[in-house]
Amino acid sequence: MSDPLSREAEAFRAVYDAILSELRRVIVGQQELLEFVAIALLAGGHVLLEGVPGLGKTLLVRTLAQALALNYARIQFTPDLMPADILGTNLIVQDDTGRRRFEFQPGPVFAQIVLADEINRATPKTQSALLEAMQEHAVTIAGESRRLEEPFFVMATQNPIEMEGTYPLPEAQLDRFMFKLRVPFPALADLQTIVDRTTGPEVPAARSAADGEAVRRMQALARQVPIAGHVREYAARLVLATHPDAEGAAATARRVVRYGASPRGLQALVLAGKVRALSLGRFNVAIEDIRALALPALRHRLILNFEGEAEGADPDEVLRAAMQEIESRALTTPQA
Amino acid sequence: MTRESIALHEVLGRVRWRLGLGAAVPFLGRAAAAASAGILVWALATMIVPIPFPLRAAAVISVGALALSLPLLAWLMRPPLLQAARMTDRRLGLADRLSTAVELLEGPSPGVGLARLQIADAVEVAGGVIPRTAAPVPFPRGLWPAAACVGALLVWAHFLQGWSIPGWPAARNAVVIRSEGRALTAIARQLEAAARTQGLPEARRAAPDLQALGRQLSGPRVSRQSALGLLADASRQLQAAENRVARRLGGAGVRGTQSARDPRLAPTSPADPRLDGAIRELESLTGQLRGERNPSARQDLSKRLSALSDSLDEMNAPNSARQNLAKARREVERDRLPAAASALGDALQDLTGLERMLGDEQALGDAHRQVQRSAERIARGGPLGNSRAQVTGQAQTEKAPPPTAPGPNPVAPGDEAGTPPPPGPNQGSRPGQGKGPALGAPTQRLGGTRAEEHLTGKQGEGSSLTRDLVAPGRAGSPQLPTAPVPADVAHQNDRAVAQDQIPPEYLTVIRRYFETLGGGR
Repeated sequence: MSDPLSREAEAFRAVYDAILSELRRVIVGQQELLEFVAIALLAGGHVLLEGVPGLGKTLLVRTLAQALALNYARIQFTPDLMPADILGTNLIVQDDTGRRRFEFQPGPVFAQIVLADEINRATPKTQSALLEAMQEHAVTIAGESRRLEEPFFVMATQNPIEMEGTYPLPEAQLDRFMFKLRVPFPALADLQTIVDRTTGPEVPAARSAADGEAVRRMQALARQVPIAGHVREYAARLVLATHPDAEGAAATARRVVRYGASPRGLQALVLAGKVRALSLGRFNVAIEDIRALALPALRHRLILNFEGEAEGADPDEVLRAAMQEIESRALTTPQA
Repeated sequence: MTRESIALHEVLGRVRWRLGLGAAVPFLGRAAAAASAGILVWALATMIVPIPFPLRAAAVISVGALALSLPLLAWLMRPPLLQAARMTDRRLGLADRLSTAVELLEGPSPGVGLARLQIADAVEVAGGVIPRTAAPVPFPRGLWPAAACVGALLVWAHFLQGWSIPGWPAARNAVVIRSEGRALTAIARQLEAAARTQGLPEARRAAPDLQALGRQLSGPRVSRQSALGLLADASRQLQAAENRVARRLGGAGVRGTQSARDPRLAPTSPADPRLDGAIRELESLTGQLRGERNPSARQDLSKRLSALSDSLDEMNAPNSARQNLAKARREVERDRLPAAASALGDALQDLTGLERMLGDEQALGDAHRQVQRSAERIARGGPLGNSRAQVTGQAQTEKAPPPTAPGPNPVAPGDEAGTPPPPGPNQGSRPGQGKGPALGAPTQRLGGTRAEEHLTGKQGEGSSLTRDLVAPGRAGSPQLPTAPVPADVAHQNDRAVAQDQIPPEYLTVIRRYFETLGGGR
């Protein structure tokens, strides 16, 4: 393992571990959440965090920005927030000679790590302002397209409880997020540790573990990870299984799902799988990667039908049933 | 093919083989169960119908077929390399390393970028793969019923083989076999008795084996196939004995040689009257020569010798006997009577030897024919598929004596099956005190064929002729000193007993009678 590629793969793992280590210095518990956030970052995706207030969502984003030495911006989404407040706007400025001209004032989206706090409180119009930025890593203002600095990582949060006065994210917006992560409530031991860390004389802070360039290299390296045909097929079958009208649809999906995951979900699944494989020291995507990432990558892409909504069906259960069904089919037909 | 590819193929090749074995073994387990069940059914069917059941052959063929088809099926059922890699990945938790590497190696650019590292990683992982763990060969559940069937077969072979269910064709076939066994036992006893009384060496050798065969067939649990095999062996042995006797007869110049003038003229039976007459004439001449002093009587002797010589020539007697007779004639003409008597004695021995060989041939032929008849009856299986009534009718038919039964004491095989032989006229009594409804025909007296002598002249003329008759009923004092019975008398005795139609049970009684007479003297 002395060639450059091997060293690069080793460095990937080292940086990944370092990022997680720095995050753990500040964030108590939430191991899986931290790993998924790191994976999404290195896969070039965005994350939607869902959890009740006070669980450290904002702290997580800020700590991530510290650990990566990247520009960080926070946008508090409110009903009166306008797209220009996010993207920026052209202002008339007067120079020293007294001449007036339009000058672009970039909005908070021009940071490298953007926290869209309580994103569902803004109007859909404002929410949609992030669409181009998240997908194209660019914004178009007054007919002029402006590239965002790489890496560009959006973390949005939403409160699942206080639904009054909120605007649920449109499907197109949800589809732009690579992962939708549910922030669980800390356990007893974690709560005590949180108290100790945050009420003492010294508040822990993350140190820089990597910079933007390193993240870009890692993102490029992750895309080189090979994936076997049957693993790719498994991921595609899983996506198809969420579609009620597809041939390989899972029984649960036929019953409670109106629309299944999009091809973007499959892309997210495979790309995140590549990062996960490298982070575990592997050079290939495994079915276990797909299985581990299926819930965060696909849960927000399923649109339940009336029956599903009425029953309070959980997309996670639909996905678990789909995976189980696919595996049982594979066992009964080993040639497949 | 790269080094990595070779290493992966080596490991996965073994895994493939074991996977094929794992797929083939359950299939063969079911096949073994079916085969053993079939053999068991076959074995049980032999208790109902008398069908051949080569247990060893069936077992050897089944085991051989299974053993040969195992590698063939394993080779045919082994999965492709990629699937073997996937199964190894799944069973050993290798996170799809091997299958990805196999795909990359088969792809267009296996040595580029992270693919190269992936392949190297897979090869390293494959080094630790144990094919036995990756592809365990399951114990086929089908072997349990197969083992049960084999166990049942062993039990059957040990305890039930040869038994038959009463009322079914197999039981009727067993009855036929036992009946033939009893018939063979009776024939063997006759053979033994004839060998003892007539001094037949080959018959004496063959009799114990034939008797053992008869006892074996009479016993239980003898299948038709094994009975036929035993009978075939016995037939071969009897045929070999007959061939030996035939060779000896040929060596004596009686038949089959150039010296035999016309083989059709040769005696074919020890009871041939020509042979019998020649022997008696020789005995008479021998006795006469020892006491003859009269020249005119010598001429008469010479004439009789000449006539006897012609008789021997006509019957194609052994060369040695004819040569000895010619020599005796010459000696008589030269007036050397002791030498003539010696030559005649040799001729007599030759003829009695011929008589024994013919007796051997006849006895062995009888036994051989009986063995063949038994084999035919058992092979025909008579009762197979017939009703009980038909079987009974056939059994009754078999009880009738065969019209072509040869020999002086023809024995029908069915006679010994269940009923004792008919009582003789003097059974259970001493000679002359028979209790039967009628006395049998008078036994021919020893030396009963008298040589008629017509003397000319008056009483008291010429020389007197005195002969010592060494036989019972000698004139003079009835008290004779104890002396061993002369060999020629014993021989005549045996021959007379053998020639007469005497049931075998009486032979011993008669012999004992004569022994009693000898002891009383």
